[in-house]
Amino acid sequence: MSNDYQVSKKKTSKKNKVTSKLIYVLKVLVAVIMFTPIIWILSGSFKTLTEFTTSAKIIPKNLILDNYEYVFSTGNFFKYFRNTVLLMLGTAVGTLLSSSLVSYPLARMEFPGKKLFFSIIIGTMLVPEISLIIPKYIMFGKLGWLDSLLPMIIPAFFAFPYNVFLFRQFLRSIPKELDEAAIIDGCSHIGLFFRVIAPLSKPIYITIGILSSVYWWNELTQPVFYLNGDNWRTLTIALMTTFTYIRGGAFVVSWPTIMAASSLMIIPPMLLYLFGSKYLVEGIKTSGIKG
Amino acid sequence: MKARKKKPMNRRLKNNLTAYGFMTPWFIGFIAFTLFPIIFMFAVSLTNRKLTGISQYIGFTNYINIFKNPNFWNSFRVTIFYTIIVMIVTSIWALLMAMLLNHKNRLNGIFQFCYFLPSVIPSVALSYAFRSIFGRDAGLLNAFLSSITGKNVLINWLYDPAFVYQTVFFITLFTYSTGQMMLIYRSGLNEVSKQLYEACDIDGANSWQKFFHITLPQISPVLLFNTVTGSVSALNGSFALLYPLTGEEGNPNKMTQVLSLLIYNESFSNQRVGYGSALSVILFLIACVFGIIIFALSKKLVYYEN
Repeated sequence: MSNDYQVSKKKTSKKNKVTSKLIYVLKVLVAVIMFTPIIWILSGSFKTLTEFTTSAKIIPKNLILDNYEYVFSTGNFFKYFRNTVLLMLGTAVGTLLSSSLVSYPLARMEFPGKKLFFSIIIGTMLVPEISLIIPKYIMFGKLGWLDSLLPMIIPAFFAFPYNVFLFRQFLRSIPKELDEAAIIDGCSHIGLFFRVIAPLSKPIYITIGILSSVYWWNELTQPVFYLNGDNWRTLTIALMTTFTYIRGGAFVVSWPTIMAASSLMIIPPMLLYLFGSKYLVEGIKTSGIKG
Repeated sequence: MKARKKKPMNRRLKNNLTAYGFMTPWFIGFIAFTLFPIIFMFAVSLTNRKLTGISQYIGFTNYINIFKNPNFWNSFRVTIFYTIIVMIVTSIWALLMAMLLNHKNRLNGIFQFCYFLPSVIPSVALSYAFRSIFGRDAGLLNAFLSSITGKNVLINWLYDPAFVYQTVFFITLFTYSTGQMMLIYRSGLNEVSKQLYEACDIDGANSWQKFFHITLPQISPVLLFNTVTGSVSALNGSFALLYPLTGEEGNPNKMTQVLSLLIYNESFSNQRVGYGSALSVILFLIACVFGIIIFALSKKLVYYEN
């Protein structure tokens, strides 16, 4: 009896070893697939145009820095950088403040209309931004906001549904007893929010702060529609316009400079990720997701 | 204290007003940036508005012209096809990555870094990288295939009608929304109770049985959430990915011209904002239909506790 048990245990542990090796191989394979474009961008940024268009070798013949020099000296790299940082910070501050405030009563208070408002928030999550971009373009034109960052920053101060949803999920997971204790002590909801709930919600603030910053750093669609001139151009648009063609050359695509600009653009989101990776999983609460 | 006890109605009113006070930013945002644009969009779609702002009421002429236009029907089909496939492909890939990462071993942090990093880089950068990786001459994929097969492979992956869809769908695995789905799956998988798996081990279930009988039903609400957000991202993110990748005309032969690209093309390049608005209305309705279908299906397929 006991012998049988031992044998079967050995068998499963052997099987487990094989499975975990297979999983490890799969893990490495996926990692290689996912990381290839980044290696490609980095390697391309050090190649000459001729080398880039004739050879697919990952390691460049000789590392040249001309492409980076070109990016810094053509157009107004630093102005585009400033614009993109302003866009990123403005939207992050706006959405963190407004979305957390809006999510508070949805997660922790009872009031008439709560279910209805929450359903509308979920409903608006399903409306793709791109379908409303034409009427908004006309609207922001009337307000005189086009060719500035306002069409993207101002709405952030009025709560994005997706972020409200993520905040609500997190706030619901904080024990309710805290509220009761604080209210008995004579604390108002506003005091409770700023002194108790917000400090306890640090992981979700960091999570959404990172996700939002990364999103706006990378955003292309809205700048393409709302920005025309050079003054408020963001890096994503500059990548499609300023850095695309060779110096003085009309329509020769300058791949290595695109790769150099791309390499530079990868750095901030990468740093944000490295800083916040441990919060990213902790902050998102999926318990009680009901569509 | 006394006053509070005497007037429970007053306290409730105060409580409700506080709640609405907290929600004010959303009320304003919803009316100004969602509800009003929707109504306004319907209004503009009934005019022949130009980019310059000149406009005249023309009734349903835009819609009639749209339904007569083969370009629209092409974009309509491409949009539906693109959205459904992207939704499926990215959901599966994100779940696969999340499950691999939940098998913790050494260097897990590095694996997560490799899996997640592509999704945080700008879609423009990604598009350009893939345009050259999938290029005909000196493209990485062709070089790789040539070295394996020993033949000189010269496929123009993004311009060849036989390969463009596979290539585009592959590229969507690297987008922001896939990375975000992976994160959500990861926390969903973490919340599945360990006891359920242990109970299964005692019954001698294998990995497949565990996956289909425990993991999948347990994470089905998360799966639904990701499918819904995935379909919105596919409708929404298609522009940021395809505009730099295949251009506003949707090369080759408009095969990748999704509605968002057609809207941009008509409203800006052709300066027909009224027509573009009518197309936007249709895109909006498509999104609504997707939402309704997914929720209807979910009632049958999703497993909820309690």
